[in-house]
Amino acid sequence: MSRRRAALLGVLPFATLVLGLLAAAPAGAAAVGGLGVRPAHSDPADPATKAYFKPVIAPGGTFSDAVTVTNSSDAPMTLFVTPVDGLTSTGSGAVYANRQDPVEKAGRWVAPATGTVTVPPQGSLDVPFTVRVPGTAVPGDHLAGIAVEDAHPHSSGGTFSVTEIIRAVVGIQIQVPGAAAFTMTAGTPSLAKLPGTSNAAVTIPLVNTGGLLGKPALTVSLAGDGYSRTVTRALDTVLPGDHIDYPFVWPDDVRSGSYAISVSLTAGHAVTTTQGHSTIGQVLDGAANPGAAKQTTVAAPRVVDEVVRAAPRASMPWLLMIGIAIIALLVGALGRRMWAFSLRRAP
Amino acid sequence: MRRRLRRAAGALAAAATAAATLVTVVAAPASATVAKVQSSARVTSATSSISATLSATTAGDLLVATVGYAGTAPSFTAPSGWVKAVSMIANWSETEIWYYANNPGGITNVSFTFARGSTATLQLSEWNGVAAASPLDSTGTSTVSSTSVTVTASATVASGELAVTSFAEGYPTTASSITFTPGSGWTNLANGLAGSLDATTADYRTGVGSGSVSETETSSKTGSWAAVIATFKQGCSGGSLTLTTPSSLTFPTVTLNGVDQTNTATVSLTPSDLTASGAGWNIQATSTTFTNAGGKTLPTTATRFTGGTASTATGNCSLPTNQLSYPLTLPAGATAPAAVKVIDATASTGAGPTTLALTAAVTIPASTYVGTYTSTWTFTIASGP
Repeated sequence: MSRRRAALLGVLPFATLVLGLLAAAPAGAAAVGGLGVRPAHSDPADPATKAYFKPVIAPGGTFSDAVTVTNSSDAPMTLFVTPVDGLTSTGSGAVYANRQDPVEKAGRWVAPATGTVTVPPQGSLDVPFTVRVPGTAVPGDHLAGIAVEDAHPHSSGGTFSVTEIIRAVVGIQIQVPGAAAFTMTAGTPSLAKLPGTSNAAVTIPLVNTGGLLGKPALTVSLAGDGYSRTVTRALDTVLPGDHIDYPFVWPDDVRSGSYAISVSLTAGHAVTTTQGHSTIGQVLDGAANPGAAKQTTVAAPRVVDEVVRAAPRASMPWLLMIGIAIIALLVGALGRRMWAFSLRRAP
Repeated sequence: MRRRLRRAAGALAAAATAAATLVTVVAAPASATVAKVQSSARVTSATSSISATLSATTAGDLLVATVGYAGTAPSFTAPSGWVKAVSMIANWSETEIWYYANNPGGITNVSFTFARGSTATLQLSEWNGVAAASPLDSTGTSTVSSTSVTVTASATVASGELAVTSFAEGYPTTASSITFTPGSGWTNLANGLAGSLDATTADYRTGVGSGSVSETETSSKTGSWAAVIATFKQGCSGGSLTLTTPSSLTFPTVTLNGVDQTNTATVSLTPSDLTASGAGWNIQATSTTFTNAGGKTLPTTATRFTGGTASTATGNCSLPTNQLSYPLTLPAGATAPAAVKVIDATASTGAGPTTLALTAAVTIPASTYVGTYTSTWTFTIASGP
């Protein structure tokens, strides 16, 4: 293989990558979505009912209203209308099940008048629905929703193609009267790498054991190997009966070693504590500042200074590498000169 | 079998038709609209004070006064809370538009004072659906001697705004009656003579399209015109919680090269909260696993959102306060798992349209198989407990 060909082959992957990046698929053109929802009627005494329904329904009772579905685009829009269950997201917060998911919880009580609608451009439709609460329903909060979903999603091109589906959901917080409270328990916490990232996270099993939804707070202490820090965070909604493994992303870098973990969970006025212990065999990234992006792709083993908090990273030894390269060049040149000298001296 | 299938299909169609008939079609437009609640007749006064009456106003509504003066130095003063939007003087007459944003409600009478010595006219109107804070968007003035005059707002306006015009026309000879003709698409509020040498008229137009706004007013008598226009921004109320993606999500093409790579793209979303619920909102996301034609997949934790920014879009009333921390892993599975919130607006924030940019990063392991990978991402806007 000639030197020129070898050089070309060496450069080829980079050139291909650069060309690939330059030849990125064109930016998407048309707007997608423009669909909206709101309750058709609201309670003047409760502004939140302009955004979602909050009916109080006794076991065996019914509630009927309508969802106003709007289309702010300039073309007719065909939409799927489906009842969905309310769920608790892994990171806390009420989210809604997908259209294809089996409806297993309060979503089963909700019956929209239709499964599809076509909304005229810049227009709206009212979709009536009825909630029928079974006689066996327990007192407390039961979250469902009515989802409207664009029936004609759009796809992008490229080697990583994404089809985007746009939905809007009107929540229905069904309140079944009777004695109910917001109570939660926390399981044994553990420290590990957050999957898909290099971030340190304390995973805390949480269960809402009560009948009311609520927003708990967590205070987590991590101590070990001369390091100690306590962090408090307010969580989003956890629904009754739901269990989540909450990933408490840790703000600081965490060195390998053994750590004692203490968790204090506040739900309403009740505070419970739980303890755990974890050993990690690698340095994990801290999340730096909440809401800020943080570089997480460092493949080489890192040197961590012996400090208690947020150890700074060892930077790339560029000077050392440059020095080695210069020495190699000098040695090469010297060798070549000596070789030429020896040829001249040869008989 | 075929007959049974046909019967089933027929039953389904009948059920669908029955269900469809239950859906109520309403004429309400997709977004909040500005609407006239009431307007008064035009009154005239030759003293130093002029008053007009309304039925008790509703709190939060915008009040507008159009005034005219048969002279060039009226020195109008208004009660507390009123702000002059624009004024214009012509050869023999003068006109102004005043407004009272987010009025406290219950107002039944408004009195202006002016310079004694000439005649003034006043006309009031009440408007619902206008922004409660800083509603005035654009103004314009014009003067000409002719049977018609054109007045144009100096800046382009957003779709859905309210435009109000006021015209004072002075004549060289006396006039006992004048006929005004509004421009196409404009509706008259009220006309009135101010003495025998001047007349004033005012018009309005709701739901103007985005861009330039102007009106050409025509009179039955040639005169010297003073013309003004004021546009008022649509409020963030009376509408829905809406989600739009202004452009489709596109990742750059990546050539696999045997080393770990990260492919990033920006997810553009435009949520709009016109419910005025104060409950806030959130956007949830889930996905199916990136899969190629051969069934090879990326890890279910391959995609994460590394950050999100919000900026005002036209008509925005307040930016969302996002309490989420990044990175956030986008859930993925053969069937999309439960979603996670990827950006939110806490209570009392995020009113009106907002432009969001979420940075999505896909980790492509060195061992990834060649091929085009596809994934379905579902974005949901919701408001709830």
